[in-house]
Amino acid sequence: MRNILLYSALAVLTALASASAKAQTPSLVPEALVQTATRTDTPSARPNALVLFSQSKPEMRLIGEDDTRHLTFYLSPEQARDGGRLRLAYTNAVSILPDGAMMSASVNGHAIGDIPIRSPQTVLATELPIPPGMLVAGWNTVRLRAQQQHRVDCSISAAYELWTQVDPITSGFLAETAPDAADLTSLIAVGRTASEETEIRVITAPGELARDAGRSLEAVQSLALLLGRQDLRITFTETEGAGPGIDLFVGDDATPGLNPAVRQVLSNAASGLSARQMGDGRVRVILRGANDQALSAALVAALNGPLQPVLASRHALTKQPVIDASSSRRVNLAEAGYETAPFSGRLFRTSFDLVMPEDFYPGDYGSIDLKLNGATAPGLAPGAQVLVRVNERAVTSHVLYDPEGVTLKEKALALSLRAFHPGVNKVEILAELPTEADQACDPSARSGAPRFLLLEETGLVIPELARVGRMPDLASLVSRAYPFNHDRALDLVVDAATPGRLSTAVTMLSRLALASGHPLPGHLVIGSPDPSSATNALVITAGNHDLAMTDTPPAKGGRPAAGRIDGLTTASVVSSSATSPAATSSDSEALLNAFQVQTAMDADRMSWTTRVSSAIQHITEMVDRWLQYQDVTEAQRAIRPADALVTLGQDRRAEGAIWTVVTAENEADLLRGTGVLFDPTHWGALKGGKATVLRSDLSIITETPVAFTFYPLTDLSLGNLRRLAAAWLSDHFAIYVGLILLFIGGFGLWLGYIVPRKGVRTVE
Amino acid sequence: MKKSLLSATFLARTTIGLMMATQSGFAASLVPEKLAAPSTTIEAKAVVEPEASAPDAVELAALYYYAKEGQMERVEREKKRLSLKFPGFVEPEDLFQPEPEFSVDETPLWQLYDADDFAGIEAAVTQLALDNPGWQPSQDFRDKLARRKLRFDMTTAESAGDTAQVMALGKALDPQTEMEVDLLWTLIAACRSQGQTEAMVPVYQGILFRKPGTELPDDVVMTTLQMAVQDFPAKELRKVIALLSEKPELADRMKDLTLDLVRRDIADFAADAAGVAETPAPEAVLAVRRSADLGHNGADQTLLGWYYLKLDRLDDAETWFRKAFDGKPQIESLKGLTLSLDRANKRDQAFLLVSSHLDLLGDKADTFLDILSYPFQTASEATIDPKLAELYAKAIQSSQSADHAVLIGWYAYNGRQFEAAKAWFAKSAEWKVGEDSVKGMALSAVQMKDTGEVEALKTRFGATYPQVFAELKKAVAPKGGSTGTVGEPAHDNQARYVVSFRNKRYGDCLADLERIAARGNLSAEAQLIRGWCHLELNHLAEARDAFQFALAGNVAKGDDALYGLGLSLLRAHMTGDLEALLASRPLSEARAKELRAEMLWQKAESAFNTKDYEVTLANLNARLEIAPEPVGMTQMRAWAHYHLGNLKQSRAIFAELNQIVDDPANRRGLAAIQDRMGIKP
Repeated sequence: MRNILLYSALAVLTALASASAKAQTPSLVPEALVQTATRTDTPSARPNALVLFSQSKPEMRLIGEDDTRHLTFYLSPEQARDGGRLRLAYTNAVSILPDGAMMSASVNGHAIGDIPIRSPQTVLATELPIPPGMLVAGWNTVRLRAQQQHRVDCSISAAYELWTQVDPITSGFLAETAPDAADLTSLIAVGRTASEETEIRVITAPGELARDAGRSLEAVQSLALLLGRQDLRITFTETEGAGPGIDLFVGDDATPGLNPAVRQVLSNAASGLSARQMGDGRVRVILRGANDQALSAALVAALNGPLQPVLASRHALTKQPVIDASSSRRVNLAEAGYETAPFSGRLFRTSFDLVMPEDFYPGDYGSIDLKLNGATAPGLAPGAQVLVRVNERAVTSHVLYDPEGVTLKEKALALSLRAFHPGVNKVEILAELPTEADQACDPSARSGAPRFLLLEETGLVIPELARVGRMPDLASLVSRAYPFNHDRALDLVVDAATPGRLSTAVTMLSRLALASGHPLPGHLVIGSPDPSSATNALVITAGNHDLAMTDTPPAKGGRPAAGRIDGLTTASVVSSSATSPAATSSDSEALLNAFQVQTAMDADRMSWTTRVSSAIQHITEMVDRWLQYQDVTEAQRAIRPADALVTLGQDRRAEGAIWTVVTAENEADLLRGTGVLFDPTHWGALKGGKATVLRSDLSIITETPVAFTFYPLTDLSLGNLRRLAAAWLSDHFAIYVGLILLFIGGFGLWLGYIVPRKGVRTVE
Repeated sequence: MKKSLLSATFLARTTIGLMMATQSGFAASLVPEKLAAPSTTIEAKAVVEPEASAPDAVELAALYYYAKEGQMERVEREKKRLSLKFPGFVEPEDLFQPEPEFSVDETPLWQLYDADDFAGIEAAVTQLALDNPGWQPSQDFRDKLARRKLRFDMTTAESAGDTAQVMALGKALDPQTEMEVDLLWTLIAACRSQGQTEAMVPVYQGILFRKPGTELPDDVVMTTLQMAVQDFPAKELRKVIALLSEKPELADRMKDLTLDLVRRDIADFAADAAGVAETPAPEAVLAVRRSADLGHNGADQTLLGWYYLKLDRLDDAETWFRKAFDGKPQIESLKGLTLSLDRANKRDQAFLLVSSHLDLLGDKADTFLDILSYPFQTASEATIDPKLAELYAKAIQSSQSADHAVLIGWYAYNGRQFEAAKAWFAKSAEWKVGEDSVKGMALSAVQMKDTGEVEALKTRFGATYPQVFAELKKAVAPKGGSTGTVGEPAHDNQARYVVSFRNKRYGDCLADLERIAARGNLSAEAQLIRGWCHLELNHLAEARDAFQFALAGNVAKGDDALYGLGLSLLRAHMTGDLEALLASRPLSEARAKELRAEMLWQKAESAFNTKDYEVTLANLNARLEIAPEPVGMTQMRAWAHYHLGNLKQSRAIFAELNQIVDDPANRRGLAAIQDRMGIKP
């Protein structure tokens, strides 16, 4: 009896014993999971820190019926271990059909779930839990794929109405664990302001703006590189900010002129680079050092120390849709992150960035071959075709119509090298896939049957490129920071040390550092650039007409400058959009244009010679535009001086220095105009020789330079010289045609005149 | 005397042990039924999602947009699309009027959401609603908020030790689809704490057996299995592992559970009172011995102690328990060691061991009552450590042990501390009247020369225990001596089950009560607490019985018992019984009204479901007479009128409701009525 009683008591005790035994067997229980379970049990360990995506707003927009975006975020080892949720706050086009519209998300290649796209009225936040084990310490990649259809319109053009915009301020990874408040790497998660910018506020001493701005250049650029964000804005202020952003303190508490609060912050900070989370997406970053050398050394130590994983783990990111075209090779789309998937919509669309070297010379001397591999389903209607667009312009197409379906095997489509420019080029492959049923667009007859399949074996064959740097070229400036991306010193010139000018200058410098991938050795100069210096300069002026960019002089024997061809047409374009007070201001040029429009003579009353001359001129312009891949509106749009808010241009000086100049009438214009210019959507699309932000509608007009100056050749190989010659001749087709005619004429002369007279010697 | 005390204690333990063994999974199975019995596989039926009958704001957004933009062709197409999707769709009246726009930025709400500031959210929503008449937070925000609040409440309750609340909140989780596994683990821990193995089963199954494509990562499955080792017998777990072994990678990883399963085998064997558990294989024991030896694993050492104790190898048992206790003194190994020593007739050593570790006993002292009573039984002349006496007294009260109360009463009596002795004898009689306690009370009264008390006792117990009073005259006064001071039972020392109940540890509460019940009948008060504990754990039949016992025992808080009984009847939807109860027994007015209102609602709901709309209305009307009517009930009233053909009345109710709350259900009701009345919108 007593035994039974005793054994019964064991039931309680052995359960406890077993529990204890399990807890003390570390080899059996994954430590990370055990910690996860215990950490999440306590509310204090659940601060739900939002780690924002690095990408800017334009990179978070999913357009068309089926689009994919890759977003990245950085996690500390603790955050990766403890997991969390993916928060996607989004809004979408009202025309997206709610039924079946879906955004699929995967993290580091693991699918984590789908969310319906149903928020046309407001930003809707949805969260997807990420199961433990999917995250990695360092950079993580989120792949978003949106599949969406139009509610009522089955036309091809309606597909462009479909978009889903992920909100850059409230989307990201909601970590279970907040980073250590003093962890340097936690600055990567800094919040964005309400204007969707990442703000770095450099804290300066009263009256020492220039000194402190000059000291901060390296630190600001390093932060820009760490963050990797395209929506950076640098500002200078004497007090800490209140909202999201980085408050950057540079210097030492012994630095003269500091206000007490700043001195307090610096004196409490450790030497070197340190950071502290201040809540609400605000981070205080302090670079403490007694002098410039100490500051540089501290920065280097931090970048090689605690911040090293941030830079090092970037290469571990999953494939991004970017192709480097600096060498001749074949690249398949799979290497750019494209994944084969049947497409059942009407307008297939996939895109990637093709990065040309900064000294790439565009021209008609060769082409990039797109080798298409794919198939269409039977039943497509006439009009089905593949289109390839480069930098928003259609370059080539191929008809896909075949009632029984088309199979494409290494079908080559040539993309002329003239369509590209140095730096980042956006290449889009579109397939228009109409069917007969689309005409009726009956909602009850919608079909989800696939129409097109583009295989990831589709590739690009990149040829050898003609390489010579040329100037001006804003595309190579913004995408590769050319010509500043070498180790040569750079003067950062502002005509006066004001917060607005310095903000513009340093913001632009940080953008160029991002483009080049390393900090630029900038030296701040207040005043005017030295005309006798051979140092490249980035010049920011407001109201300094001496430094304002002059129009590029007409090329010798070249074609007339764009925008000066047809003043009448230009005037009408301007007047049509001239609704702002600035545009309707009294302007003699506008008055003259209006007078000429009103008094223009009917064509049939003009003389015969005038009409022939006009026709020839028109045809010449058309051919010219066609050759240059220009739009009619772009080639013809002119800018009234009073309508120019901010101008960005490049100029080569006598000593060989390149001046890149940003000019405005005053500081307010400078800030407003550069706000538009630095918008990630616009900044990456700059090209040509000069860009002007218009006061009237804040649009950006880029102008193709009428002539370039070239940097010394670095590649003197025969192949490069041949390609350069071909490229140059393709640019100067009149000379090319003239030479051909000359050769033909010479041959004719030889054959018709010399040979009959001199005879032909025969060998017997 | 000594034997009888030990027997009583062990009897109680036996009952608890058997109960725990039953609850520990022998009745519950982790394997889903359809997997356990493949021959009776039930073909899954397609679940048809109920289609919304009217378009929501998202569906209508484009219609308004196209109308605003003047895109009439698209307006027509969109109307056609909506008509196809929502049969009976009618064009909104305000389609071409300026649409109400709420450009309310919910970002501040999300920021408060991130900070778990629910009061702040409530205030912010109120303010936004005031600033934007007609606005309400997006459905998504409301859903997320509810979800977030659930997590917050669960973690808060869990860290506060309120496992009953965790279990109550956990009902909102769907274990089959829940992706936040830590919440499910929290729920499992709460169930374990409440001794609710049955409640754990669906949670475990939800984690371990998911539909293809929705499976959780292997790490999660492994961790869950490791948890399950605590709650289910190894035999059951082996079945689960066999089913999960279809995935080769997981099968490989599950081999790491072998040692855990062996431990569980040994534990099951050691705890098996019925003798049905298989004896663990020697190799298995060897594996645990190796772990215990090499890893100095105290838990394994304790486990081996129980194993050898079960085999009656007392020396080995003592050795392993002592190793564990010497490594890290813990109450489990102390318990094993004292039992081993006790069984080896080394009770004096056992007592020395316990008395030198009194601080370790804490609130578990009552489980050592027998050992603690050793000096009170054997050394009446010796002085007992006052700390020991105090701990013993506290343990007696905590366990409500009548036998030990008598024992300490005799100790006090022999030491001529008659007041204390009388109090302890009275306490013993309060818990369980017996000859010893009556005799002790009477003798104490005699020694105190309280003849009135003696007479009162004689009147009360004379018929039952005549020999006690017959022997009173022969009683010799105790000599007294060097006994230590014994205090009277503390008035504020609550029984353990009461403490467990107040701390919402309902499983512990029931276990405590079972322990007491094993020693005799439960008092009416104890039955009342038992009823509440069962009710909290949703054991409705047991709760009903307990409340009825309490009522039968004329519990002091009769109103509480009656109310509890009413609630348990309501939860079981036994409205007829409740009606009879309310008619037969008086209950306080507020509680009676509350029970009656809920009863009438249940009756109305039941009638509505059986399409007995007149009865529905009758019950709703009866309810309305005693309590205000929430919106949902009024909607039921309106639909009942609608089905009875009282369209005007129904329409009036819906229209009135529509004025009060913005609910699509009201609009749907109005649309249906207008349709039936042939009124075109």
